[in-house]
Amino acid sequence: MNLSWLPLAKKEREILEGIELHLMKVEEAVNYLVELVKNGNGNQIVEKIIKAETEADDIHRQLSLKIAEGAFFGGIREDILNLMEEIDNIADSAKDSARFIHMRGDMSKQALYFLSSETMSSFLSELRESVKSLSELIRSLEVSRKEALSRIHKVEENEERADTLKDTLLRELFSISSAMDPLTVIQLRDFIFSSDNIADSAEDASDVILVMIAKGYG
Amino acid sequence: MDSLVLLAALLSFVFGWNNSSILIGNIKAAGSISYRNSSILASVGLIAGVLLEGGKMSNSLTGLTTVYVPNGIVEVTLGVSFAVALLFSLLGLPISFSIVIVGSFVGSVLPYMHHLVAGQLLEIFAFWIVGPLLSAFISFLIYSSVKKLVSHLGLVEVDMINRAGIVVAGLSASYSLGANNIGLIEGTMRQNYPAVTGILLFSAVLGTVAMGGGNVSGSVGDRLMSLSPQGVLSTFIASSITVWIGTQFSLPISISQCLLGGMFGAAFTRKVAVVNRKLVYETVVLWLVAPLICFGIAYILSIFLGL
Repeated sequence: MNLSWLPLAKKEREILEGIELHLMKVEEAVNYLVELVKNGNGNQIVEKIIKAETEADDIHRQLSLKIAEGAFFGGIREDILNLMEEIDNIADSAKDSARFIHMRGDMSKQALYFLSSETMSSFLSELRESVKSLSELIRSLEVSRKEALSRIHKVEENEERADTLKDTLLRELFSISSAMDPLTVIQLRDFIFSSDNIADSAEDASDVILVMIAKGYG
Repeated sequence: MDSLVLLAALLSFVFGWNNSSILIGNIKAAGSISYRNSSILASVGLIAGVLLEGGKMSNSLTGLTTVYVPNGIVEVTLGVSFAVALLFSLLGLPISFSIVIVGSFVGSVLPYMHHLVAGQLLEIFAFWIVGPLLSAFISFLIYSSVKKLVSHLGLVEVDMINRAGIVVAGLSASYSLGANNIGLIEGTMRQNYPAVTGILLFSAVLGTVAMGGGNVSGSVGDRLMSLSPQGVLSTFIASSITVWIGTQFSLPISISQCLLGGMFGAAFTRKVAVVNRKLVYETVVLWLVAPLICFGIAYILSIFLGL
């Protein structure tokens, strides 16, 4: 049952819309990260990621102030702040991951080969999916508890698949590590860990939503 | 000021103090309105309750006797009730006012036992048992319905219901409590002048607002049982309805008795409920101990003073 046509809870609706906007910026940062990995590098793309992350930070700050002013029931106010923090962590991880790729300048042939592998492509796609699923989950909060609960599982599934792919990627990386410069191995390993945090944070955000549902819906 | 009015005013003040957590604490705990606004809401509820339905309690105590109750008996009743209620409030323990007042009254009248109307007294005792059970049943019905309704709503709508519900619950609790308990105190007095009503109301509101930050009982929903906002809302509304029913039959009852029943009613709708057994045990023991203390003191005083 959608009661959004009622002229009530304007501040709360604005906050929920703000969270969706926040997540859109975060999704943008993750999409640029995927593009960066596919291209192997690119100053412009890194700048776009940093810009999206900064914009997401601004939205986060404004929303936090609105919530602190007294929007939402006291019991879930803190959870909403935690949710936004987790969403922000996704953008932070995208930015950190981009830096790991970018910080040493041009990459070696082996590194580029590793980044363009099928497993890496599936891994990145799973990261994107986890953020997309989170976005759908947040939209479902406007519908009903049942709808939201069904979406929570989707984010968890994405995270689990990303986790499995991360292990595969690490094994693949270490199997070819002898042919690589040790610094490149460290660089790629850190990139994998950092980008995996995207799916982890999305799952943590879905956990916060689960708590919000448990508290709010009784 | 007449000593009776003074004692009644003091008792009303302690009533407001001891019940401030129920009247203000739970609305404030929702975090959606300020202390000032929750105090205003509680005061409005109390005033409306006393003015609109407080008169229905005028014969609750005096109706327990077949003869005119002398002022000395009323003084002992109010004095002992005030002393015990003050002691419990200072110790930070919630107290059931109706139980204390009835205990004191019966103690002070008992030396003249032939004047007591046993049937009326039994009705009150029976309602103290039936009330919490009724509250549990109503709470169960309300909570089940509200849970079903909100499961089809979005989070913003649910949040809106939770916030509005806590205000409605606080308002209804203060209304029914004002009508029943302040009405009971007011009913002990022969002088039912508007000025007396005003003094009692002022004292109760002052006790509620001025002492609202005190440590008596805390937030009921938080301390007795782990309940969701809708659980607390259902419990409060069910308890308010039960106290209101009591008022319609001139039966004094405390909201804390009904709240405990209501909470268990709400908990029945859940598979797992976390109950603070120690606090529940303490509350029930206080219900038994407090009236016995009041009864004993009032009985001795009544004989000693030769009332």
